[in-house]
Amino acid sequence: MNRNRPILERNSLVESTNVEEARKQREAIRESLRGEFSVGSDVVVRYEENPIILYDALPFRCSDILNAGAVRVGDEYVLLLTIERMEGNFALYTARSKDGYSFAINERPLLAPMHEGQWAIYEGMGVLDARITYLEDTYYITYDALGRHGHCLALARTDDFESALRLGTISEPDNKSGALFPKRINGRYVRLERPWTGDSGSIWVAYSDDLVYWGGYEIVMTPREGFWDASRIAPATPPVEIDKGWLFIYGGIKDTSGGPLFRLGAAILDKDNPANLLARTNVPILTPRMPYERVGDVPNMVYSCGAIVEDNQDIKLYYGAADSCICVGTSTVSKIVEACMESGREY
Amino acid sequence: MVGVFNPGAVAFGDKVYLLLRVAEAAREHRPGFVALPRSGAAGRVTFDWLREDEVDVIDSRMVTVKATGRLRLTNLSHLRLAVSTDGLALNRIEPAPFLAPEGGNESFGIEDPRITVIDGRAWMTYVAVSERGIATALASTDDFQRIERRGIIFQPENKDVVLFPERVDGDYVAIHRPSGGARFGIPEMWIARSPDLIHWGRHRPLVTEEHWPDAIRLGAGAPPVRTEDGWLVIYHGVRKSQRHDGCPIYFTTGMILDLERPERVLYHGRTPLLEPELAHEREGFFPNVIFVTGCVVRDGQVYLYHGAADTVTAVVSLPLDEVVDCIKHAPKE
Repeated sequence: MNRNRPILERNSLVESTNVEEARKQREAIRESLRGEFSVGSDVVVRYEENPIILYDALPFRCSDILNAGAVRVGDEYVLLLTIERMEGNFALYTARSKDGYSFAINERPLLAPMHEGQWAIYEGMGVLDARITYLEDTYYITYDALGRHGHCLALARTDDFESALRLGTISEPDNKSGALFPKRINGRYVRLERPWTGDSGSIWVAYSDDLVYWGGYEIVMTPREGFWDASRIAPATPPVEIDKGWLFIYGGIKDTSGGPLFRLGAAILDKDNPANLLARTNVPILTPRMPYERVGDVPNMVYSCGAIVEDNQDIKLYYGAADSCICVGTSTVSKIVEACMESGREY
Repeated sequence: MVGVFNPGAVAFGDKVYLLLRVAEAAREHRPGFVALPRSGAAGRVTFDWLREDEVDVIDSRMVTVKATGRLRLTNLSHLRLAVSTDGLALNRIEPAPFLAPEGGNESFGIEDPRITVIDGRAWMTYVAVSERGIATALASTDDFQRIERRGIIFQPENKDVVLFPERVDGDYVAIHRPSGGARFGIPEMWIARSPDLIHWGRHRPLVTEEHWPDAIRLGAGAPPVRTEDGWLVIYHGVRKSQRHDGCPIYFTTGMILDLERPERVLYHGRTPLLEPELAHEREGFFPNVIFVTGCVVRDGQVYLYHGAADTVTAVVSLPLDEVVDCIKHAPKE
């Protein structure tokens, strides 16, 4: 990240007071939080320096930062940030880190809404919610292409996160939260997704021989009455392979009289037949509790598009808080699997 | 029974086969309650009896359950086969369902079949309704006796799916009507391609509100028919009509698509071909509906099989060249 860009200086001059105040506020919030909130009931442990990316740390002006896809590239942690730009549309920006906590953010978007050409009608309002899957020696990005016809799943490919090749939309509207599996199952590409039906939302699986044409749709999980994920659910992270099957994090929404609560849970799918749900957390693994998760553009929200599994099976879960900043929490594969298995099949 | 309507129709061998949507509701009435049918294990139909104050009535077809905010149908449909030699009189209506709701994707019924014969095999798309939403599924038969289910091909919400009778550039082609919850416009018609009828992609908008600014929704009607001028597609639109006291009416219109590149509309119908006028179209379970779901061309005549007022099945015949002329020479707005 080049913090000395002229545009940043100009912005800093214009908004120097606000930026400085925001930093002070953030410090004050962090200071006030230490040891005062009981967050021990969550399986995912928050990084104490959260949030790790706030809008005022970017090398350009933006409205806010929503969430991040995440992947390990060599010795680097790479995030793909969904950023709401000042105009109000959404674009995807690469962020890089050596330690997984301190990120440098690219000045130019990796993918931004096209306003002409064949994709313009699908993404005039933005490209957002990137999920990254390393598959057959390249990085595939599934994202939400938002245009006047609604939300479509779209696919792009990159090798270096400096430039990406659009492969086009891969669903009809409305469909969101597409996440590719990192390898073929029985010779076929597989994705999880959340077709949007307006009054509910479930997680489905779809198959493809070529990443272009998709079918074989089956329902995987539905919302559960009386649970934290009672109203709508959607895939959060792409699945990772574990001994027992495919582990993935998902988002669950419960509507309340104060608005929706966005929480995160996990599930395990059968290795050979991912439509077969083996286990699912009866309790969330992460719940909005901290002020930065409670207050923001969309309050009471933790929303993830990516997690990174380290060689020692530690997990860094990157999540957007209140659609306004990026946070990280840590756990281990075995702790999350345990949380899934504790539930047995009681869902 | 509520009605028999929205028939799939296809000429196959020397006969015309109609696949009728039979909608049924509870025979029993309990004062102060509504009966919401559900198909369960082994096709057994049960009713959820809800107090009238537990639901908001949307129209005769559906209610919203207040506790969940979700839609439920007041009737449950299955599909029944009828056979005709001349395309007008039905020689036989099978006594047993040809296709009945099965499994979790069809618990609220199966509806609005469309049949296309491709390479000698009849392919049926039909609407599968359940808690999971309104999706479109595929089934096929080569003798109208044994039927093979092929699962969901368009996810919720998607209906009004018609298959082209021939491949284009080696691809199967379908028109569909996605209508999810986050839309910014009206439900409109899209077109997609497939290598195998099971996997679909390259989805593109085809007919949108730009073409029918006063429509509430649009959807394909009958499977496309090849003509010299291009693919003839009969479809429906819904709009509020001055002539019917502002009630929504379902009208029928058509368009002609490029034979080589069906994503391209050559001629847009800009006026309705048919509007509800006759008594059986204007009165019934859901009034003011003409809903064309089958199009058979024989000896230069187009037979448009349709449901009327969600109650009865009817057919209109028109000379093919007049239909094409009407669409080609529609006044430009």
